[in-house]
Amino acid sequence: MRTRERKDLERKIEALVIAIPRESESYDFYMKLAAEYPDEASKEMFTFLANQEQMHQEALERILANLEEKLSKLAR
Amino acid sequence: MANTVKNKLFVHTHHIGSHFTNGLTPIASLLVTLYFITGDRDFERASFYCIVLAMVAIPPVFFSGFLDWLTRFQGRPTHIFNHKRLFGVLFMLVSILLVVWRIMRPDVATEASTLRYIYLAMIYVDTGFATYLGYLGGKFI
Repeated sequence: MRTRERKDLERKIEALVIAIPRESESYDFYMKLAAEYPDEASKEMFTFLANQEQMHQEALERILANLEEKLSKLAR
Repeated sequence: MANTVKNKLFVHTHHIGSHFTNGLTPIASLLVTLYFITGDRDFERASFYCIVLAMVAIPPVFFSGFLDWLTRFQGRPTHIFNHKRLFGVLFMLVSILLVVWRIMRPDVATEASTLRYIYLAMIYVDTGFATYLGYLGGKFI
């Protein structure tokens, strides 16, 4: 049971480890576009999208920290 | 900023280089198989050159992937990364072994001995490693 639980946690952690850099890269991508467009409407849209990605990244990092803590407790 | 540029360099080197290794190794398998079917030695020679080119591409692919893992993924030892490291090392070793063996014994694939089948099997195994590494890499897309 513990082994199954551990494996399950490891799979979830792996998914988050792969997902977090994607959010960060999307943030950079939208910020770059926001800087490239001269009009305010485009800047606003891309900055809004960048902020969404940043929020996703922060949420994923919180979940990851939580799962890693659960995994370390399970290993004790 | 400097870190982002460095990270992008690792990612791009890894992605570009892995297409060389993953393209050349199956072609080496195909060409050596064609040699065994037709007996035309040009196929065997072409297969060897493919393995040499793939072998040259493996170290930059491996180390850029390793540095990408250390930076973008904070060196977290998950299942995928552990397998990528393990099979990356095996891929590199088998490729080096094949090249060294073929240089030291140019007739290894053409002379009538059981060694030629071991050489052939090693090329197929190498293709298996390249395929598995490509499959793992595909999980990041």
